[in-house]
Amino acid sequence: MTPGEPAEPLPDRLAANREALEAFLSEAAGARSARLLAAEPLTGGAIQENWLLRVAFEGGSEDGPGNDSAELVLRTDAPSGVAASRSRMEEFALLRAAWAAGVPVPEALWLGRDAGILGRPFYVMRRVPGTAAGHKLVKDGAIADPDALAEQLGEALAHIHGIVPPRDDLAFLGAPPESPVHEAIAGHRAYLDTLPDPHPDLEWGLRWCERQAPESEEITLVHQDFRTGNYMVHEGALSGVLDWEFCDWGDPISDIGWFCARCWRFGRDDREAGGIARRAPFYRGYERVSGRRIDPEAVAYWEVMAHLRWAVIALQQGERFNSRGEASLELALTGRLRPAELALEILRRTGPERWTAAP
Amino acid sequence: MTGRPVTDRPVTDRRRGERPDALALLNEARRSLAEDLLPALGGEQRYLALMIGNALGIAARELESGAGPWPALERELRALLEAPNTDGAALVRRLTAEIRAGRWDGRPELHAVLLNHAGARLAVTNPKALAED
Repeated sequence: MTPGEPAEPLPDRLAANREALEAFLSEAAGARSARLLAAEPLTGGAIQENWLLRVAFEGGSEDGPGNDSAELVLRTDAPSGVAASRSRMEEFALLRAAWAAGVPVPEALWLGRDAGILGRPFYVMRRVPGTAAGHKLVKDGAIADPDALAEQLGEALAHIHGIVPPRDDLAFLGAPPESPVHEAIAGHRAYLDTLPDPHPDLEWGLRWCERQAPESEEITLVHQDFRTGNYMVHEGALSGVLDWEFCDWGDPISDIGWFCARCWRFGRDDREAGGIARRAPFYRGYERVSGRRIDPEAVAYWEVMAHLRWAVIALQQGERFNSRGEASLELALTGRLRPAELALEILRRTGPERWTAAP
Repeated sequence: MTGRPVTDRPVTDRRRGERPDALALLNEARRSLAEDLLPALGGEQRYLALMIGNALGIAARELESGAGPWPALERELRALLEAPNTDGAALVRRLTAEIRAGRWDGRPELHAVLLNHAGARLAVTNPKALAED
């Protein structure tokens, strides 16, 4: 690959900003010039856009990607982005903090704050090899040693939880919550109150969670979407934890519950650690790196909370179709399908025999 | 799918005399999608076609279920809350407020009603998930 190589036609959105983007990349990399050779969209969320860029740098500094063409990923807000998650600038800071804490993440390189470049803030990171597709990863034989992967996932999560408040670089997260559980319950109820129809099944689950709430023993950074489908696996090994837009200060066990919750096993209910493996190797990796003992009762509690949170998110996605008229069959189906499935699971986990704590 | 016995079919009755009716059309559209179109599709398009089939299936089962699971819930709640004349929507709203206030903590009679209701909703949206359990 040389800087003289003919470039492929760029998608409209990037082509219109080619010069500004190339100038940004070249300056950020400390190179004499940068040429955009190709850009292709990567599957992202409904909220963000990810582009795989092939860039030829000339005269790059040692810190930059060098003289060869580099594969970089540019992440920016989708045109119809919902302002419910962390901004790209905050995500950039979180990725840098995670990288420094030893979490396998794509290395975040440069932040484009200037709206003059792409019209919206963006950042550029190195490409991480592998696949994130949950339904592929849980297939028999897709991963040579699932226990080893589960252990790496446990270690990675423990590294995330090694980031604790206060942190100047993460000041945008605000003050750590007094009680993550009660704040989450209040947030879910406030959202349900905005909907046209009541949800007695979810209310039952929320009340159970309120009564049975364990004390949060410590507050750490929590990823809040650490699950199969949101990390990359390359040749059987964890290559990058993705989707940092829901990060906050919270109870670390909440992430363990989210990862193990039945709703994120992609149909492999027998493999309780994310549809990948048994819990034991995942817990082992987590406990070794964090030095904490995992309390299975607390995880079981947070699994109920996980189902409730996913039900609320599914309702929010459904409302984007119902009330805001966003044309998306996926949003429509999520809003209709998931709440009933999740409600059944929540009710099964909160039967009368499980109401034990004093009110 | 099996589900509850069909007692009233307001939507199809309105179209009495029109054949094929909405349910037959939906089911035929699903069959054609699955047998004629799906095998020729890959990648994103296949995923989209599966979602379309899923949506048609839910619509067909909802038609088939007549009035759906909500009237049954409201009937049971009228008995449970001893409010025979309250409007259904208001009743469910009252129930959710009472659950929040702690008046139904751990009570098996409500848990059973909610469990039934969730099962009846799943029979429409995803009967396979119900069968797997």
